[in-house]
Amino acid sequence: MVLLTILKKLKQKEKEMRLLMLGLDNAGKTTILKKFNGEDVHTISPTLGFNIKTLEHQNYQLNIWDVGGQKSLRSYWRNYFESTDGLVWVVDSIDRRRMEDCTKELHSLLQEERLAGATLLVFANKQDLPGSMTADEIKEALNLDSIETHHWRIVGCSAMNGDNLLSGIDWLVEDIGARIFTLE
Amino acid sequence: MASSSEDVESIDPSFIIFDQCIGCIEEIIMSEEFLKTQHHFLTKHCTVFDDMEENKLIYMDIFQDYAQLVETFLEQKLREMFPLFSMEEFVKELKSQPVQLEGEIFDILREFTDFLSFKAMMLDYKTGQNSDVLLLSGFKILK
Amino acid sequence: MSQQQLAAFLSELNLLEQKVNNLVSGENVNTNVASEALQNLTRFVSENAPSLPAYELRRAHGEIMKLKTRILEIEEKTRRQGKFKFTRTNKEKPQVTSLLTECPGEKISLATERPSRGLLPTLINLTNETITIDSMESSSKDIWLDNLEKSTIIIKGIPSALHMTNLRDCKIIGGPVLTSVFLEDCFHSIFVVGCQQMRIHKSKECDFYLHICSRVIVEDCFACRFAPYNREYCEKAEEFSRANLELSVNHWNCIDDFNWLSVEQSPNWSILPEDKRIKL
Repeated sequence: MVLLTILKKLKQKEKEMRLLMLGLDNAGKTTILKKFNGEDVHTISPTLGFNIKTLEHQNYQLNIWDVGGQKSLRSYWRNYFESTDGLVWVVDSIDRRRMEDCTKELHSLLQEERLAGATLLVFANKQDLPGSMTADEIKEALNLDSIETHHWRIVGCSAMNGDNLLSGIDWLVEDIGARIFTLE
Repeated sequence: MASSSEDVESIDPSFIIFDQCIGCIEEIIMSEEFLKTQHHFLTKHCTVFDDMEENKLIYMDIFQDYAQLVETFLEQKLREMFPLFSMEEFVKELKSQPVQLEGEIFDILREFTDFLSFKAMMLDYKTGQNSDVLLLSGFKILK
Repeated sequence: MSQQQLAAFLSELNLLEQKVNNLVSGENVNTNVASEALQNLTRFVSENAPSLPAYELRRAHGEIMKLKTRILEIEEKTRRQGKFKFTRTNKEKPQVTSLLTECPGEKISLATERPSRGLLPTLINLTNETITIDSMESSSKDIWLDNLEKSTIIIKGIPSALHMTNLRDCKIIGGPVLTSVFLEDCFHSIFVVGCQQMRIHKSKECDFYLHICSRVIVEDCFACRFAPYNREYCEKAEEFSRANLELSVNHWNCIDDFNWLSVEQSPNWSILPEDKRIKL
């Protein structure tokens, strides 16, 4: 599928960005999406498929895709890679036990050709909970310093109370904007 | 852009073919054959779609099949019209001439790559599933 | 479906099955690749289920279950081998070891010892114990229960979330949890809890007494049984309301089995018969 893919990439009119939000199940992806969109976060079900939100931010139209993180669903993630400008990797900062799994999944995503141009934002979620790993600890655990192929940043946040969601997304949008739209 | 008669004569023949192709794409998309193909696809798959906020994973597969169907159809028809047509060349041309991308036909083509419009169309199809409405709703995408 | 279509379908089915079979045979099986092939097969079957003869459908489901079990066995084997290797050569995995040193790895560590260090209340490596985590300790925190055997844990108050891993023959009794319950590698245990979300991975022969507002997810599980939350205690109404769980809304029997995409009842879980339910 060449023609339609190219046409999609040649975004002419709106300043559009496509963000793909991934991470292990129970990380809080949908909660982040809903909180960011100002919706109720107390009634969210585990995601079996995917959610899409389109919202205006900093004069950009953000299309945020949130795909379920259950192990059985991860092989479907690739269906969502095309035309991704920013990857948001959400980490459950409490879940030390699966941190290795989390690291493995992230680094395998970074090998994906279709995500090669994407900026990476890592949300170290659930910082409001006592006992959570700090953003620095997660940076170590995920071995983020080894990433040379993508622009990246880690931001400690809380989807439940909204802390730092905005600053994370702001950085992501600025980084993508600088990369894509100043070239015109 | 002002063009003198000189310009027209010196114009690259591949450009003219490119322009003709664009015109034909519009024709192909409006053709009854395309609408029938589209109608068949939508009828076959629309029952899977539900009007819920969360999307099922299968929607994405169907969506990608749909885009593939459209593109294959276009390519096939363009090749019938221009035996030398090559999608690769055409896309190359497209990329080098961004000015050409303004216009209704590109909006229509871009619409084919928009998941949310696709979902909305599927849901329309599902609710309006009976005889005549179907063919008419096939035009929705052309609005 | 015409004979011709059916023949084409069956040959496709056969191909997909063969592919998974090949992938799970022999040494050095890549379970990721095999799981993916199995997923393709499962998808193919569930998409075509409506137009398939009942016999073929049943046969295909049987085959899927067989392959799934085989992959799980291989994964379990590698996991065990991996664990063993890990304890011997922990220098090779510096980032994980550094995490583990922060987690209490001693024989017994009680929840009460933890908060002073700013870590989450954790109960780990216990056998034959009965422990109550009181509401001061649990309140707004994630509680972690790991590697417990033949133990009973009573959780009072409203924790933020509950993680339970490697439990065998345990009884976990709690009230509402503010957000989610996550469970992995549990065997022959009983869970009594209220929550917004619940994910159960790789667990067998467990009984759940649930109050849940969304739906339960099970993945790679077997012989799990579900019943409604049936525990009465005096602060119940107040606690559930503080946890934003409406007592009138309980989806304890809405289970999504990720290994069973068909509309038919999954063989991996069932409703716990009323006469077999425990009273609390």
